[in-house]
Amino acid sequence: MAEPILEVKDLRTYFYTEAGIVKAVNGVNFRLEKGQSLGVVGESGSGKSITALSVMGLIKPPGKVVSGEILLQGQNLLKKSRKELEKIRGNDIAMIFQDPMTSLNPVLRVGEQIAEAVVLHRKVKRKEGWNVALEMLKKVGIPEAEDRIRRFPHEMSGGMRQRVMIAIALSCNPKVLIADEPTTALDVTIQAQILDLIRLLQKDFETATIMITHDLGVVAEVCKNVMVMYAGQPVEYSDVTTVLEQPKHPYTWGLLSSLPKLNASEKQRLTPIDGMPPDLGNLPEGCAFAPRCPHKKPVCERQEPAGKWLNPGHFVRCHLYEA
Amino acid sequence: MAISIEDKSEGKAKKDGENVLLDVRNLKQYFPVKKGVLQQVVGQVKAVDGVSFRVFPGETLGLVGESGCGKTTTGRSILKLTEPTSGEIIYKGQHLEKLSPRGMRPFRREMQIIFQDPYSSLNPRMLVYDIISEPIKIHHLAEGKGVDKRVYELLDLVGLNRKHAKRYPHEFSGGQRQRIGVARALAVEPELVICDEPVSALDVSIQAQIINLLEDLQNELHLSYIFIAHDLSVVKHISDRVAVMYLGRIVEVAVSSALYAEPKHPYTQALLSAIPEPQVSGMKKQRILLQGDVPSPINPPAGCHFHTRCRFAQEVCSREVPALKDLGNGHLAACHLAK
Repeated sequence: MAEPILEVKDLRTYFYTEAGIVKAVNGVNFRLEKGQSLGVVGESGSGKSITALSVMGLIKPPGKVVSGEILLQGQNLLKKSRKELEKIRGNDIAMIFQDPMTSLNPVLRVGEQIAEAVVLHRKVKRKEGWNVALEMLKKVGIPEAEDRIRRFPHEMSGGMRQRVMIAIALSCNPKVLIADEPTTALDVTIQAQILDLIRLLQKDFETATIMITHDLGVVAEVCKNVMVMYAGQPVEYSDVTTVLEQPKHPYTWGLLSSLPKLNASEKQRLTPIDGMPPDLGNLPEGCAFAPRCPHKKPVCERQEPAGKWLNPGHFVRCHLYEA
Repeated sequence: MAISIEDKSEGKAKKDGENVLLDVRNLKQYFPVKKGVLQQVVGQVKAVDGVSFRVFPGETLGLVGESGCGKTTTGRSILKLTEPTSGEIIYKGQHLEKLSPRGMRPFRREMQIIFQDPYSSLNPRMLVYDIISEPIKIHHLAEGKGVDKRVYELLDLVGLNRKHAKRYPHEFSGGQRQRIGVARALAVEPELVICDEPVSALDVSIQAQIINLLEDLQNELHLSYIFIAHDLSVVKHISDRVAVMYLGRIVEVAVSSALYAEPKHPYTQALLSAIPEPQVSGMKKQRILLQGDVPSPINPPAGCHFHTRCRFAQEVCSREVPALKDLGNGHLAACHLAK
């Protein structure tokens, strides 16, 4: 196995609220190699975004990373000072967010926003920063970049703004790019353009990508590996073909059968997952998915499954495969 | 001229009166764009620009399109939540566009709407009981103990617990709130329900629960739906027929399976090819990437609205508006080149 760029070991992020401890991320492990793409899939509250924010060092009180290691090329980010983290963020790891409107500064020209990152991290003159900004805008496929560089975010459409976000994120040539639902706010035809761009840039820049999404279709388009999360834990991990075609965890089965199929010729009734996701401040004993699981056994409600590698590339956390 | 059109439509409505539930003809909804201190009207947003379709009893008509295509506005104008600029809305042979707000009242009982956002569409200060019983009381559908009985019936119907009646909306999850919204819509025993993106805000596993609920209710209560959504797989799943909208106009209408198997309009083709599907092996569809963004509805392109992004566009497309024409088997498309 190649040396990983990013390795996360037993990450736990808890929120200390008045109502009790919310275990948003509860033991996440994964590794990412150069140029690889990992999809993190789950429903709202599964801890996928908090995992990303923890890796970026952006967890604020009452949240706290309580244990684990985040190794970027062997260096533990959790041991770094704020100053050191500021250097790493944007330079080595960059992130793009779901909503391109609220994550851009509305009173700064887009060129300024890209140049700012370049000037800060590469220690170059402002003029040079603008040149990089222009080059980046062209790379992310913005037409008439010379003109658009002087525009404000509100003068652009959602798809354009997301391209600007990507340009900012990639301007310092990061080793890891975290994309948190980058196309959720966009229409399908624009989503297709952005996914194409992300795929192209993955190849060009050899950036390792973590793609956080609730859409298994998006994962199938851009990711090599997939981690399915439920209640703050990975429940299944494998390459994308295995997860979509031979999933082993009942939650993954449930997710796939909940989706209406576009290519079904006959009308089939959907099979939803019963019930609701658990309250992360009050997790059930045993497996967190047990209350909704159609295959549960008595042991599931008593004991948390430890998880098992069915083969070197396929991890499942479920009692059906333990023993 | 206007009179003769009227005559023709009246005659037709009488003829098909029994099997057409809702007949929308050339519906237009423009919003003025105002500017300056004097608030002069400097232009118009043509949100809905001449839309015609029919809904038959017991069917689901899907209305799809990207944001800004006018699908939600169409739904709202049908209910006269905004006063349509022009066009006809004929419900069971009655012309709704001419009715006063008071005259609309009996029809409000028959036509209901379910909204996208289950968080903002329920009054946070009202108990679930009050939310569901309010329309029953307004329309005098039950009195005294009868109201309680009806509310509990509705809660059972949408899969909520009776004790939920004494709680506030914030105590529920998104899926449960959407169930409350469904119960409120059904409280007045409507025949036509406009579902405006009812599952877009929900997680997939919950989304499937609500879709199944809507399907069950349709079978049980013989409802007709206009199902507005941007998610094409959801629309395909639930609809009998689907209408695709682009920049305020319908570009294609067909039976759901035919539309997805053989889209005729270049926009529909691009839209369908853009959907990311959760499958890796097998037939990978050819993706048609559309260039650029949707033009502004304030100043839409002349002729066919889609010609600026269409890969087949010809000279005629920028000149003439294509009519929605029947290509056989009730498959309609508005394209100069479609056969």
